[in-house]
Amino acid sequence: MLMNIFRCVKGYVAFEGKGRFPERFLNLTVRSGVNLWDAQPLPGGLKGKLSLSDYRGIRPLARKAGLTLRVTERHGIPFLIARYRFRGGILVGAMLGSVLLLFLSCFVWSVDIKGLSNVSASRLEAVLAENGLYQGRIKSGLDVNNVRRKTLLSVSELGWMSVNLDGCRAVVEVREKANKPPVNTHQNPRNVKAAADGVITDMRVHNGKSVVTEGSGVIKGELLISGVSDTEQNTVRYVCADAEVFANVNSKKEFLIPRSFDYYSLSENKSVRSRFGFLNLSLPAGFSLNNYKYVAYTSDEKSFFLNDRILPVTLSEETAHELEFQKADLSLKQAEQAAENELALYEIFEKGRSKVVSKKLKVIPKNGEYSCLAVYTFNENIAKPVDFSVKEE
Amino acid sequence: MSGSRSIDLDLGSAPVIEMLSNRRVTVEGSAGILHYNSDNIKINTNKMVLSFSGRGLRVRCITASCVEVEGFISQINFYC
Repeated sequence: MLMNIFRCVKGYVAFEGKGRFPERFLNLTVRSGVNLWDAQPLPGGLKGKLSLSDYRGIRPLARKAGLTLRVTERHGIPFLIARYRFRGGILVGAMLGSVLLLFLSCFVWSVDIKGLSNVSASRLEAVLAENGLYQGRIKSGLDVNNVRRKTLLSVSELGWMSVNLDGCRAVVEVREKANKPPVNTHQNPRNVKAAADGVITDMRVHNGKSVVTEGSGVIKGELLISGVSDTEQNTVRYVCADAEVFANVNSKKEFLIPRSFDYYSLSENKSVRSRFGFLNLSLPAGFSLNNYKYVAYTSDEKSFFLNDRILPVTLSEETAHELEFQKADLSLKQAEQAAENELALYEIFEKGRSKVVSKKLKVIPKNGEYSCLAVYTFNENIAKPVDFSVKEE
Repeated sequence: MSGSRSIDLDLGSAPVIEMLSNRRVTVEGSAGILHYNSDNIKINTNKMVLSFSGRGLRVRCITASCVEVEGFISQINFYC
């Protein structure tokens, strides 16, 4: 293997010799200190291989042995150089490529973050950038331990972190802290009272003495679970009452929807502006301009990969969409649909833990608006813990 | 004098022949190749001529004092 590399660097030729005394040629080459290998007899001659430097001085020996030599193959770097010697551009290109490679290897091409589950990657990227690690950063002055320390202090959710430079790629591995489970440390005696009027449908008492039963109607503030319980010795024990009490609760939701409203809609007109990004530089790659009165922008960035490695080159497109100012009037049917949408948001975001038992919606036009009234019956947990103090007399 | 003929051995200048099965033979102490084709290779040593016969014979490597012959060797003759 090593010998083959050495021969390749020096260059070698395969030749064929025709003549009467091939054995004499072998003896002469050996006596002259010429290294000949892979010598194979041929009918009326031989073939073999010689290094380029030896082949140049072997003609007299061949003549002495009565052989006529002919080169059949040429191998090695000297032949490669000779083939491209009049193509200076290749050499210049190779040199420029090498310089560019050396120059680019001084920068951080990409920051790869691994191990995130709850913390957002963009937040961590921003913190890393604040602490000095970002795409396009010069590698030489980068203190990865300092970056790691500062980032761990800045992002409290992280429990462990490592920052390693793998060539031009910064690999950030993180482990988030395990969240502590909620522990009820409340020790004071307390009752559970009703948070709203309703009819109880289900009770799950964890601690305390229940004073109502399923099917009971309760009013807001009524005692549901008592924190005072009797013992077998006829004494009183104060406990921290805990329960889940589900009841059907009536609820109303009123809101107004304007009959006419203004809005902006996307028109057909748009202009696209491309930008070329290299490391942390961003250069415009087009001259598209817009003079729209109302504009909404969207952007799309493409990164380039080579062997699963992100390259420090990006191509982004910023599209400016023209907006049109429009006025619209709602019909009753559209208003009902808008009210349904509004109520759907209300059910999800405000009553997310409640189950809808029944719902009635009424939409009435009133003074240039639509008045919406929704009557709900929710099944929800109405248990509300209330502390009480105990004084000894 | 005994009746048997004694043979003088001069092992110092004798060629050293090393064989790997009948596929490769290394001759140390060669003085040149006398005959070379794929069926027969004759190697001159100072004291004798070694003749290797067979099929597909070739000189794998050659230096001033050493020759390595490769191929299917079926016969070896010594001409003194």
